[in-house]
Amino acid sequence: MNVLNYITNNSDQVLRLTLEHIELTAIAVGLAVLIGVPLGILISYFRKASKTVVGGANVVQAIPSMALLGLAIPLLGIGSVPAVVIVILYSLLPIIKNTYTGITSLDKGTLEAAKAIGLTKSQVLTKVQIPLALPVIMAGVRISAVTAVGLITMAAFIGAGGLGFLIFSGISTTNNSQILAGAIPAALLALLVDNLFSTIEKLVTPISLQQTGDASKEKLKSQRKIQKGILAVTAAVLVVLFTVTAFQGAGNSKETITIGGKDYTEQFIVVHLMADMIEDRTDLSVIRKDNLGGTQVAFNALRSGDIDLYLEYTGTIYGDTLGYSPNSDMVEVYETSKSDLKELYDIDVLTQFNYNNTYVLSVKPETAERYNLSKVSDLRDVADQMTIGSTLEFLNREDGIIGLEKHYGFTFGEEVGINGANKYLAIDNGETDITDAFSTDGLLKKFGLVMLEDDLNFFPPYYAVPILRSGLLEEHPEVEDALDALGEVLTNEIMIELNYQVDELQRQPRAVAREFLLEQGLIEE
Amino acid sequence: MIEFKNVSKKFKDVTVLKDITFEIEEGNLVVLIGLSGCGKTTTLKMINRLIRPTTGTITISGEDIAKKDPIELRRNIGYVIQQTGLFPHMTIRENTEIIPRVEKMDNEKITKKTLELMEMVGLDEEFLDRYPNELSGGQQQRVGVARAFALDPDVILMDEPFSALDPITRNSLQEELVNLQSKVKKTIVFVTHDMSEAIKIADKICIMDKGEIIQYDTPENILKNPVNEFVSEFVGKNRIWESPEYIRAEDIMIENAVSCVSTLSLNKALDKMRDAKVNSILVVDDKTKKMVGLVKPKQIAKVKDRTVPVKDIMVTDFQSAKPGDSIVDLLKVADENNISEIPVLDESGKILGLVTQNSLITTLSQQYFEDGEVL
Repeated sequence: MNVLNYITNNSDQVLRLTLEHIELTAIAVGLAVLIGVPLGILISYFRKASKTVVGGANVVQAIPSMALLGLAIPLLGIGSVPAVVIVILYSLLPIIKNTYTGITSLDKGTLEAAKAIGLTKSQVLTKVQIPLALPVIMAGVRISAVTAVGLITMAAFIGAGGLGFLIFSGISTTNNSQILAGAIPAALLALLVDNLFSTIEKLVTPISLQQTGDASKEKLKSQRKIQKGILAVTAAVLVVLFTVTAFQGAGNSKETITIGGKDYTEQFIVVHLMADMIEDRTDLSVIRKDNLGGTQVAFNALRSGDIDLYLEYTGTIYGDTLGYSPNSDMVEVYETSKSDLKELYDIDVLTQFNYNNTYVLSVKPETAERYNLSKVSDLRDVADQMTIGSTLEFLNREDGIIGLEKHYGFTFGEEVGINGANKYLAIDNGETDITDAFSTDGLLKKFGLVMLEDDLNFFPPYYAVPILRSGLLEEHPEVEDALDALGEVLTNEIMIELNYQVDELQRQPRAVAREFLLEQGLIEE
Repeated sequence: MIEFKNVSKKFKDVTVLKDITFEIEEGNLVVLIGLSGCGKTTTLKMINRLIRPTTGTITISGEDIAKKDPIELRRNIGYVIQQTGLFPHMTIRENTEIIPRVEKMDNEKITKKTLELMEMVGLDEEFLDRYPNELSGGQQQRVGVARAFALDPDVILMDEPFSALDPITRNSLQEELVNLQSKVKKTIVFVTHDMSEAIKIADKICIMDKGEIIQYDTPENILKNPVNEFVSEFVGKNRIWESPEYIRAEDIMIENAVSCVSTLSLNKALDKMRDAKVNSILVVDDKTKKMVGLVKPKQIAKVKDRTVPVKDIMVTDFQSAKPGDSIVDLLKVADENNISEIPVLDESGKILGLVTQNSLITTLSQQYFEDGEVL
């Protein structure tokens, strides 16, 4: 029921994402067909090349799609282009394979007859080979299309939109309704696509070769007419939808900038906070590309110009991007980040915001009580009996668990990598004892966790700070004022509250952001 | 005329055709026959360049086909193979009209021609909108033949077109092919491994073995004069009984028939018959040497004066045969006239020989005895 509520309350968004999903799938599969079918035909002529090509397509398909997405970012940036490219790569194999098999497994006598009666090579191909192989080719396209519907959900990871957006956001915010609001339409879409393509498959099968069973040819013919009608209507609806959405996009004459964001609740909210501030205080309109995956994705997107700005954290710039050893000096971390990013990447770092989203080790109140824990150094004697469930990133970082254990001189009994909100669920279920929370995390409030004080000053400062692609400040200096005004207001307490609104109360990040800015009088209706 | 001049074909190291030279005359139906792997299909497919010779030249009406555009060449040569030759996704009409359509012939002409072709191969118009798999094997083959005739080519190649059909359908299609051929007089090259089919339809048969032509001759000559053991084995001992029309009067007659001139006296005639142990004598005119009558001892016995010439009592109303008459004709004559001996005369009426009761029985009995050398 919650799902239905979610969908009815957010029908615009669900519809838009569904359309986006369909559009991306259609483009990807369409291009895959345009590439795969000729390639399959080509290798049926040059059989020596067939092993290489099919083998290559096999290898591509063996690479985990997430890895392929990650690898594509430096080359193709973020957004729909790399997503479509990767889905094409994945869709190629069944299309190439089926085209090749379809063409090469035709009856030798039929082909010889075609040649012998004086058809040219291209006439043999178009009049005999392709029509006869079409059902097999279409079966390949069908597999590709259904796979593509599923794969396109991954596209949200690099900001291409689609129903995956709801799924990823839902996972980050433990919002099951939102996950389902993405997953159910995606599943229905897959079934629909399967059905549609199976109809096409039947239609392209020569009527003489179709398994008729009891149905007479006349019956089949009229059935085909109906099926053709359905397909034509579907195609027409899609064309209308695409043109309408295209016009809507084109109808906007204002200058736009794109704000990106990573893939967790706080970032979802700040994207809208920053965007609303800029739209209210400047003449710019903003495209909001939240949910871009991790730091690498967002940073590369900024460098490639796919997004104009996003909110980063000083510690992340200092430790990850610039590769310095962990440093707990707030001023030094900020100043070095600012000057180095400008120098190395021509990226502008604005004034840091007022909140510090650093790591904070957290335990359940019962655990704190049992071991008498209030600060990190209290863990020394008990750490080896505890299981820490933390983000994969934290497990692998010098300023994460590696440095922490050295700095405080203890080792955890077991380490489990869990991303997103699931690490809170794990600690809540008792599967883990301690976790690396973020100090602004609404889920801290939701799950009522106790934060342990970093008494030996290990964790570096992670103050939020907008970073801008080169040139943006010269083009639109007004952006800086708008963001500075926002930064002054945002404190750790406020961020916990805003995060809590989304994570626990399952409200929309955009609504939460807008409501807050209005309350504070930072923007006007 | 199709001419093969010193044509050889090697596939990698295997020689499938060894220096073949032969001609196919215009308007002839020539059957290429042999065991699998003998090179007959290779030879056929060289004519429309589906296979290129390794060495040697092939000419059609004097033109070297290697110098022609293969597509144009093929469109001017009809091609019929087993049912698989029809395109399963096309209707009979589309199958028949495919080449005229790609040749962009006039629409009306194509439609008219298709109807003609259907009539020619004996298929009803209603078949045109059906698909090949809705037709019987024989009907499909008729369509195959129709398609081969679509552009009215001078040469038609047929690669075992009837081999997958049941015997009854095969027989009737063979007969129709012979009838059709006698009307249209195309040059047809036909591959089969079935000797009785070859004998039935061929003007000439080309027997091949291991890439060589062993004998290239008329069916009759191949039946009667196989050049070697291979051919007689291949043809089969009793094959001729499938075509008894090839057993002719001249083959089975005795050549030294007992005869006398019409002026001979009865006495002398009687002596002659006694000496030769025959019970009739053929009478010829002493000047023209033509046969004029027949005398039997029974007739002489009734006559008292045996010094009269035989011409006074001979039977002038006698049955005779031509040297080309078949054993079937002879048996018919013998049966209808209740006679046991038939003289064989040439065109001018001179005696060539005599078919006796004995020679008929000997010939007919040979098909039942293993070692019987027929002729």
